[in-house]
Amino acid sequence: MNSSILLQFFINGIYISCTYVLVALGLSLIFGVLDIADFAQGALFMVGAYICYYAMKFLGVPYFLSLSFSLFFVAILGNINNLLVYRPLRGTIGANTLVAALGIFIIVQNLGLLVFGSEYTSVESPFGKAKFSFLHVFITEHRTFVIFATFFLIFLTWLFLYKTKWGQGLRAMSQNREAATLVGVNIDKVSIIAFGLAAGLAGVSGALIAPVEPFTPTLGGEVILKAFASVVFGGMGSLIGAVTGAFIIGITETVAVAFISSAYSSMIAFGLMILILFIRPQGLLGEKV
Amino acid sequence: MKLLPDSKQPFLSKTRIFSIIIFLFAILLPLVIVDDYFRYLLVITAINAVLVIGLDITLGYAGRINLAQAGFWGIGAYASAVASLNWGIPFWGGVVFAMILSAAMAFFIGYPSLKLAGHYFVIITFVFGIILTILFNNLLSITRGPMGLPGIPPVAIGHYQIINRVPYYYLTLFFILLVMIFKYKLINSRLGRALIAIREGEALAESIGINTHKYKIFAFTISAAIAGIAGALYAHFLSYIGPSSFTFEQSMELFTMNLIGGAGTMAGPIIGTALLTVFAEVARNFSPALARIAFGLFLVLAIIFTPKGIMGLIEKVRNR
Repeated sequence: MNSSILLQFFINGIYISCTYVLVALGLSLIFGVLDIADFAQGALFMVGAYICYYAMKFLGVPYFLSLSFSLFFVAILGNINNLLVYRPLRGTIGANTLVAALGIFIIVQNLGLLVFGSEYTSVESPFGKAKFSFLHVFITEHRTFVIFATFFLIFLTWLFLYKTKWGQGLRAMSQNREAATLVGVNIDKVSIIAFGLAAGLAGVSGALIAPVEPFTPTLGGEVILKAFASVVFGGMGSLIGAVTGAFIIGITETVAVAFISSAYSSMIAFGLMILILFIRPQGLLGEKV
Repeated sequence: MKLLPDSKQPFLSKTRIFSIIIFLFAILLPLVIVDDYFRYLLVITAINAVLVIGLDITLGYAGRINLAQAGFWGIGAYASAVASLNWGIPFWGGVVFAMILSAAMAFFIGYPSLKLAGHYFVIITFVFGIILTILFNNLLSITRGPMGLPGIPPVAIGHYQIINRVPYYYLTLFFILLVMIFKYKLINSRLGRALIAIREGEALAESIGINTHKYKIFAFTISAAIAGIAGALYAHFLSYIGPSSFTFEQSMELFTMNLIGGAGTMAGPIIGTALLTVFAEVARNFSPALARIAFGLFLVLAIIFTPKGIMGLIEKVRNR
């Protein structure tokens, strides 16, 4: 096997990881702060893709602007979930909220099927079908854009969490809930910020990949599963872990699929996840169980 | 809420008379329901009831959320279908094979994952259910993938073949009775009390010397074995099985039935299954997406407002 094929796998793996790393980041954030495994983020990702489509079609806004529409409206939607479902459930056992989150996922995905229809929808990329090629490696311009935009958003999230007061509150809550509450961090405010940030990231991520392939309202299912596998792999609640997990899973999956059948691609992610749970339950970079 | 039914009760206690009346009612149901489609629904409801009674042992007694019940159901269905199609084993052998295979898979998954705290067991069962769906779709040499397995022979008792719906309903009812008696004996045994202790507080149970890990694995394995029975019943009833029946959504529906009926009770799983199976089938004919939305709403509302389900509400009214 020559090196350009390996490089191609690597680039494809990076791209695949970029389709769910932002959702993984949001999941990990919510998990760290509120101890909720929010599967509904997968459905929000799908809604983000559709908001992008409708903003371009009916409002005539350009693609890059429609990204911010997705970010904004999905952030609000995430907080509606938070206020209607997760807040009343605060204090009950975590497994209950996990099942409620799956319930919301099913509700939103099927509402999507009713409202958006089950036909394939496609969004036109501002880059058209243009491709880059270097060293015999090919990648479309839009996928390149997705990769760069995703890295940029990860960087912005890092800035927010580490350089702003709100971000500090979030991290404090994630490290020690009681102590953070004692020094005056308000859990209601923090949860609104956490859900807004996570859902916004999911929404914009959906809008980013919308032009890559035609999609249906079932788009979010695979994304949330892989994001979830990444979070468990990296260590629940660890932000760096979630990002690392997503890239390890994405690249492993791409390489593995080249050798086995693509039907088993999600099984690679789950296999890695279950493996790490048995070897190191707190995840690769997690601190506590 | 009363944790345990009284173990020393007179032979014709209130609960016992009530159970007998309910059972007689179930026997007489096909006399009232003459429509062919509703008789089909009756059998499906009965099979779901077996599944939910099984699920309740993990959810209601060991207090662990198990989202792989439909997956174990599928293992049972494929096991008995393959046994009868490829090896010519009759239904009764197939049921046993289905139970053993489902239970073995549950043990294999449960042994490592039940050691981990809270969240992780739910996650593993959830993911395992999805892995099973992928396998049912792709292990072509065993399952024929999305094409499914047609031509599964009917159940035979001696020379009599159970082809019609009403006798099949009675066959399923017989299994419900067996599973209910088993469950009743189980929860009133030392083992059942240990499970309830684990549900009410694992750390405390551990501190009084209960090997919680062992009991949780036992409950999970029993749940899966019962799902195996339901799988065999399902395969031989429809004579065709395909991977689309045994999905994660189905597991969620079974969980919702258990939760809404009332987890950790004898009657709850039956009530929840009867109400929601009929609702699901009727709603699905109307619009599959709407049916799923309704199920999602029931689930979320039940978790927020009545985590003890209908049986919990009845208990509340009685104690007022």
